[in-house]
Amino acid sequence: MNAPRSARRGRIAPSAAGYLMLLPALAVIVLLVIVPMLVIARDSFAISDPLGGNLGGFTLDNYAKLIDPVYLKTLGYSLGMALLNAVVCTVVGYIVAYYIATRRASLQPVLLVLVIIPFLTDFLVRTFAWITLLGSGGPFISLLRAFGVDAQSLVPSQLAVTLSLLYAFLPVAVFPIYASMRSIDPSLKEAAADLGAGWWQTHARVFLPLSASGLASSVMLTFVPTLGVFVIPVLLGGGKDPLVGNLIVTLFTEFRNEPLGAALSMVVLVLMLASVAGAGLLLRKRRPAQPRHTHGCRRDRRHPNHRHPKGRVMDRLTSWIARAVFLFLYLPIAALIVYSFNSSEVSYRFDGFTFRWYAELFADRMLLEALRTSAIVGLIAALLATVIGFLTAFALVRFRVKGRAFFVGAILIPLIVPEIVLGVSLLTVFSTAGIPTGLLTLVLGHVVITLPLATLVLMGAMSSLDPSLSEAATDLGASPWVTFRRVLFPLLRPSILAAFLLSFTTSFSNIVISTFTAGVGTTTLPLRIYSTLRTGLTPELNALGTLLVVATLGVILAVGVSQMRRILAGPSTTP
Amino acid sequence: MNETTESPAVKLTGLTKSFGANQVVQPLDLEIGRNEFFSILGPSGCGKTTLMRMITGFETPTGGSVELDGKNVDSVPTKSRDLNMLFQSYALFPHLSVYENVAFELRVRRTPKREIDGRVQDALALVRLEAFAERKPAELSGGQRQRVALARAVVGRPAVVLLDEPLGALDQKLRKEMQFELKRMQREVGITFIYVTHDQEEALTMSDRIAVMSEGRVLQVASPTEIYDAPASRFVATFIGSCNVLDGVVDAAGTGVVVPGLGALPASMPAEARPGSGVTLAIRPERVTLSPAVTVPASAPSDGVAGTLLERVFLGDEWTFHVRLASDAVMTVSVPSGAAAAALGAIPDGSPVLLTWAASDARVLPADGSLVAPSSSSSSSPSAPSAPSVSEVPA
Repeated sequence: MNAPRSARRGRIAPSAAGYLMLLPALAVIVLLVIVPMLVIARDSFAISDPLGGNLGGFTLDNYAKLIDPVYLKTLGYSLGMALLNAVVCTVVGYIVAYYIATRRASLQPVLLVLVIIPFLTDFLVRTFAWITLLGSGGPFISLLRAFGVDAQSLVPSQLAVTLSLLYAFLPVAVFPIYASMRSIDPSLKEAAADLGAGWWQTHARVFLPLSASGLASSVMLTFVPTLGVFVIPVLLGGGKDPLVGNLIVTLFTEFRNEPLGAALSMVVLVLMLASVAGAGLLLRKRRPAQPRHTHGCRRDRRHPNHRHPKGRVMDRLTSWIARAVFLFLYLPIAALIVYSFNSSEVSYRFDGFTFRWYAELFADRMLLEALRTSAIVGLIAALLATVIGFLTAFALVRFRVKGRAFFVGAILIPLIVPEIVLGVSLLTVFSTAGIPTGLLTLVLGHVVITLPLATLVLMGAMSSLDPSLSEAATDLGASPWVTFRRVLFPLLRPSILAAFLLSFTTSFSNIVISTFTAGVGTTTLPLRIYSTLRTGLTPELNALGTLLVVATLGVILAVGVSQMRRILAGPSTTP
Repeated sequence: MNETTESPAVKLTGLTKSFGANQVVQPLDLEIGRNEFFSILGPSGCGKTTLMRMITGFETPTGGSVELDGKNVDSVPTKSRDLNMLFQSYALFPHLSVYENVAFELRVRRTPKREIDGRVQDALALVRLEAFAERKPAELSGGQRQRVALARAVVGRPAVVLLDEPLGALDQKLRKEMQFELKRMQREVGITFIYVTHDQEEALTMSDRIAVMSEGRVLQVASPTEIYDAPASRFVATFIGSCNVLDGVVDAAGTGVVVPGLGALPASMPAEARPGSGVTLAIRPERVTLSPAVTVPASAPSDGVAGTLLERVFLGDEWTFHVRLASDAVMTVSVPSGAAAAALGAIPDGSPVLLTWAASDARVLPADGSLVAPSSSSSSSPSAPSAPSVSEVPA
């Protein structure tokens, strides 16, 4: 009872402690996100030194230069690719999410894990697997040849870029759509059929409107990061058609034209903010309009009660599409594993089974050095993110903090700002402050991107705890500290582990932020893989990729399937 | 209520709570005796949960004070108050076994180790769950979880246990069993139980006394029989069990009630009834006698009211008859299944009937139109949805 007050139940009255716990997270957001972005904004108006660097002052030249057809073309192409990828991911994501959500309850977590495995697998590994798959002599080309098509290699090609972009971001699209579909009462489908709605009607009038928020998140979560991608166009597109991400990286790291890079980053940032605001407005407009739809359903009396032959065909069709998508998700991983044991050095021949590449992997000193760096950075960043995230989540969930929505929004900023913009602004602020790039800057950069994840995971876990539990402990004589130690901490331990492992995985496979924050001698594993890949794919990398896939499985097992599902697809609606 | 010279277990003085402009609990005074099974009964949102949470210390009162065992506890935090709570959700610690859940308070309060085991075993024996000590809460049924929560609430031997709708999550049959179990356990442990519920049947079967609450006010505090037989207000009359209510005025002599359209009706007049004042007449359905209009029993306690039999509804243990009176109001009469009801079987629907009752069974209540129970549903005789009940039809 007393629904409006129940939200407040179990929350500790406002106190200095609550705000004090928010302090570390606020420091991270202000010092490592907001200030750097302000610096970038200022730099975008600075005069650039022809010899490289920033002369200060004020000019609009940088923005004027961006109107140059070369830049406009890249910008237009990037926007087009990002939009295309967002739409394809969302449509395919909708079909897959619908497929999963309509399976029986025991099968759903299994299918979801099948989406999670590629999602958590290292981004670069997922990308270079496509080189193996589509490259010269690879399985796809062999298949084409078998059918008499004369093809050499699909890498580099536009198709390879499109496919690997879809592959990279599809899981991100599935989770929010599945989350919103899971809260839809499954009997609505039968009710719609009973009221005469066919397959299209059921989806257009019931499922689509009800999963609108999930679809909007999906578009946002795929559109924004696609804009900042720079690895895929280089590796699979041959660098012919760069995306904005490539341009920004080039401007900062090769041309050292920071003001122009800053201006381009600002454009990306503004585009991104505009699209977020647009999506928000669209969603807000939709909501009151929804009841209108309930009147117009044309009753089709010819096909009473579930007898929609067309509906069954469509259901079967989408099911087959979904199954094909699962195959699509595992083809690259399968290729990776198979070729890691291939004794031939070239991918077009399979000469037999060998452990040679694994042996070479462990003999590669530079790779092991990079692995060590990534492990150290990952451990420290994940530890910091988990501790700060725990304090933040605890303050926001357990205390009656004024301005909660504001704090939650602030902590989520790094999730909406394109990573590439975060990266260049961090680089700028570190060089301005005279902090040399190295372990410290890497860790700080990774804390920025992992903190929101850790905070979200822990906030979800804390708010799903029955508020009566801590009241019961208090009632039974426990002090706040004893309540924390004997009740809250043991119950939150799995979520703390999950937050840590997800943060570690995110940091470990990050390439964008590392590109800008790593220094000489602190090359991370993805950076090392990337530079190796630019000269060509080696079988050794397949072995490394296979090990990383195994490590991903380990992380998923450690976190637990049910917890993974809660983190990525929201709390279960049916207990 | 103050049979002993000891101070009451709980004493509330002018206790009140507001959330912003919304006064959820109006200032109230209440005393709850030692070893009493005391129920706070009211519909959802009447303020009973807030009242309970102020006693436990989870909510800070806006005004007034709480005394436990004669001592003011306004500045005593929850953990130091000598009372425990049984939560609606049970709030069992999911990571601890049944045994450790029950032992929690003893461990937190640093009870000597050798004492803990015996007391936990005693508490588990009380709720008959000795065999389940090592299970986790997730491995128990709803009823068993509820027993664990009770064992955990009493193991520290508090002076008072507060129970927040503890049977709400159980199914009908289990709920009935647990009502008797709770009463037995309360007698066995000799602890004051404050039982918060919206279920009048639970309150009637278990309580020593009941406080009926509505809109933040305590309307009546009395024993279950008194609450049922002598409700103090129209709200109490219609909220507890079902009740026919007729609006009228006290006649000139102050000896009866005149209901428009029906004339003077028999009623037990309170001494303070002033001629001409508006009152409500409340008559329980089972206290009304229904007879065919032609055979008025000579032994009729007083003049009856004529009406038309609308319909009858079979409820298993009884029949409910709906009778339309001359004033257009519909009265409900309940008759136990068996010979009496069988005799009435001959009366066809639509025929004239006579309703009679003893004057002592017709309570005269102040006309408080503002306090009308949302519905007079009850398990003993729910009124058929098709027939408007009297309280909804202005007489």
